[in-house]
Amino acid sequence: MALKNRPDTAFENLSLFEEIYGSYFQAVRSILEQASAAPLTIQDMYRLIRSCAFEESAASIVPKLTEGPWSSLLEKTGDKTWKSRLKASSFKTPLTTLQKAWLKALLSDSRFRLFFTEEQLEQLSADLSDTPALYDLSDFHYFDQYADGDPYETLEYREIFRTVLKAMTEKRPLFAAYEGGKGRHLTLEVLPCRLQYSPKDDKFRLLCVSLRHGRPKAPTILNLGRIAACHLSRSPVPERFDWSYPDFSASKCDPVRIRIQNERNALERCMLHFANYEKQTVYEPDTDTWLCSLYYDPADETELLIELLSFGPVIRILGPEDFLRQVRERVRRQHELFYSDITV
Amino acid sequence: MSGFQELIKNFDRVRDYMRQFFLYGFKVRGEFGEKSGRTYDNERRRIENYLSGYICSDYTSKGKQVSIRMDSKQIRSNPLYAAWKSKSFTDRDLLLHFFLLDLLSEGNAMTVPEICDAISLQYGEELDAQIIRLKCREYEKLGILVAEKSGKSFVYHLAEPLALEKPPLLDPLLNAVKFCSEAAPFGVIGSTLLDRESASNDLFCWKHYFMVHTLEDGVLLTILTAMREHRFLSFENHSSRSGKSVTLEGLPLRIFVSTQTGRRYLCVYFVPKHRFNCLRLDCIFQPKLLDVCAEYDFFRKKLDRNLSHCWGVSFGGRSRLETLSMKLYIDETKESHIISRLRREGRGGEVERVRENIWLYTGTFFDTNEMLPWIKSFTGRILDLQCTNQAVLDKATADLETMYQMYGKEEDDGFEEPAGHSL
Repeated sequence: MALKNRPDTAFENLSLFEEIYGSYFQAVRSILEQASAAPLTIQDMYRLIRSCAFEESAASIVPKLTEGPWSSLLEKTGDKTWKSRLKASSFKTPLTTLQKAWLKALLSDSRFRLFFTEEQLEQLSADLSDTPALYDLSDFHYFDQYADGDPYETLEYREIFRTVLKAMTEKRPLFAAYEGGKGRHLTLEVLPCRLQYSPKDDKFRLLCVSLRHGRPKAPTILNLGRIAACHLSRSPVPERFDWSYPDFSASKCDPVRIRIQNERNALERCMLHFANYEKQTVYEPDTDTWLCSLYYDPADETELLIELLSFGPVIRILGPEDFLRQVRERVRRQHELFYSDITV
Repeated sequence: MSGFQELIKNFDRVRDYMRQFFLYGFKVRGEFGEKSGRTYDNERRRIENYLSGYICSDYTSKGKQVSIRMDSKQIRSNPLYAAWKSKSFTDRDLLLHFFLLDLLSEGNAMTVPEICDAISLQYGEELDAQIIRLKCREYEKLGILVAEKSGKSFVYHLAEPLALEKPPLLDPLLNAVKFCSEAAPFGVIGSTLLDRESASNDLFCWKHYFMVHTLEDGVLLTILTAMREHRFLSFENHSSRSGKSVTLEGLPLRIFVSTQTGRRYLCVYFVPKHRFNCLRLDCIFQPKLLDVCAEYDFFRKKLDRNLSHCWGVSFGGRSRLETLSMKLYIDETKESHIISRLRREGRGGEVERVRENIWLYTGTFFDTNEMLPWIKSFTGRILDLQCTNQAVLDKATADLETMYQMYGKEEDDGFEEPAGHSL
C-alpha cells in the first residue's frame, strides 16, 4: 500500500473543548454586557452566573471579578455596585472556524434545509463558500433508522413545515387538514406548542392542543407527514393559554421493573438501549443480577414491550402486573404457534 | 476539599465518570476501581455541579450511589453539553479574551505592541508582548482574529461577521440551530452558537434521544478529520468486557450510527487482515492521524458495496451470506401496522404475502445473529423461522422456549417478586 508523507491538516487543531465556549467565559461576558448598561450588585452577578454556568461557579467568579485577578474588568461605582471598565457593550465572539464548518456541513442536511427558502439557502451557501464542511453526510451510516421517514425534500412538506414553524414562533393557532388513521380525513384547529423529532422514526410530530369554539381542548399529536395542508388561523389565542407546559404525556405510570442477568453482556446492552428512559438500577449481589426500574410514558407502552421482548431471556420482566400480563400473552401465543396445531 | 475546582484540563476523565453515572448509576465510591477515593469525590462533585437537578443519590448497603436521571422526552437541550463547557483557563486567558474583544471592537486593527500598550494604559494590566502574540495567533487559528501584514509586522482585527449573522437570515438560522444542536452530529457546536446569541431551544422536543453519546464527540472529530483527509488512524481500543486496552491502526471509512440505541461505531479497514470492522466510539481513546492512503476511495467504495448486506455492524465470519426467513401470522383487518413494521424495519429484506393473514419476511445478510433481537420483538406472531445458519436458528428457538419457561406456564403466574425487592 502506497503511503504518502503527512502534510499539515486544515482541521487537525480544531477542538470542541475550548475555554472560549466555556460557561465561565459566557458568565463573565453576560456580566460585562449588563454592567456596561447599568451598575450591578453582587446579587445581580450571582443571578447572571447562575443562568449560564454551574452550581458553584458564582462563588468562584464573583470574588475574582470584584477584588481578585479579574478586577481590571470592573470598576466599583458605589458602595455595593460595579460597572464595566471596558468601552464595548457587546462581547459576542466572531464565529469560529469550527462553528462555520459545522454550519457548512448542515447545508447538506435536508432537515436543516427545511427552515429556509431556496433563496435563503443560496445566500447561506454563498456566505459559507470559503468554509470547508466539518463532515460529509455520507460519513454517517444510520443502519437501523426506519425506512418510512418524513419526505423532507418535497415542496409540499417543506411548505407545511415552515407554516407550522411560523405558527409556533408567532404563537398563533393553525388550521390543518389531516389524514388520520384508517384513511380518515380531518380538519383541525390547533395551538401548536412543540415539534417533536425522533431520529429512530426520522419523523417530526407536532405536539399541539386542539381548539374548539375558541377553547383549548385535549392535547393532540399530529404526524407532520400526514398534514395534507395547513395555514395560520385568525382565531384569537385563549387567554392565559400556557404555550410552554401543556401536559402531553399522561402522568407517568408505575415503572416497568426488570431483572437483568449477568450473561451475554445484557447489563451494558440494557443500559445503553434504555438510556433514553429515566431509570434506576441496583445491583443484587445475592443473585448476581441487577434490578432496573424504567419510567415510561404510557403512550409508549407497546414500543417498550417489544423492546423488552427483543432482549429475550437475559432479562426478566417483573411488573407491573398489567404489563406482565401482556408479556405472558405474547409468549404463550408464540409457544402455541410453534408447537400446537392451532388454526391461524 | 479546599482545592476543589469546577473546571478541568482533561476531558477524558469527566467523559469516563459522566458516562458511568449516566448509563449505570449503580456503582458506589469503592467500585470506581483504579481511581482514588479523593478523585472520585472531586469528579462526583463536579458532575453534581454541572448537572444539578438531574443528579440522584441513593444509599445502599455498599455506600452512596450517584446517578444522572433524566427523561429524554422532557429535555430541551442536552445537559451533558456542560462537560464541553468546563475547560479550565488561566486568569490571563480570560483577561486577554475580553481586552482583545474590547480593543478590536468597531473594526479596530492593532499590532501586538499597540495592543500591549493599550492594555497597560486603559486597563492597568502589564502583560508581556510575547504572551499577547501567542494569544493572537491562537485566536487566528480559531478563526476569531484575522492577521494582515502591515510593513514588517502583523495587524490583527476581528473576523468580519457573515451575512447569516444578521436579519433576515438570522432568525431562521437560529431556529435551525435549535433543532440541529440536538439532532445533528456535533450538536454541542450548535449549543455554543445558541450561547453566543443568548438563545435557547423553545421549539423542539425529542423522542429516542440518546444524550450520553456527545461524550464521544471529541474522538469523532479527530476520526472525521482522518476520513476527510484519507488518512490512516491509530487509536487505543478499550474492551468494555475484558477491560484490556490495545493500540490499533487502520483506515477509518465511515461512522455507523444506531438511532435505536444512540451507539456509534467506527468502521475501519484493517489492511493486514483485509477486513472491515466496526468498533464502538465509546471504547476508542487517543485517536491520532497517520499517513494518507492513496487507495482510500477504493476501500470506501468496497465498503459501500457491502453495506446492503450489513444488518447492523457485523461483517460476519468468512462464510457466505446468510439468509433468514420468518413467517408471521398477522390479522390483516386489525394489524396492518405490523406489515408496515416489516417494511420499514426490515432493512431491505423482502416482505411478501403468502396467503390471507400469513406474511413472509426474507433477508440475506452477513450475520443473521444480529437479527435476533428484532426477530424476538415479533414474539407472539412467529409461525416459522428458517435460517441458513443453524446456530442462529437454534439460539432463536432456545430463547423463545426459555421465555416460555419464564412466563408461559400457568403455575408461574404468581412469580412476581414481593414489592420489597423491587425499586
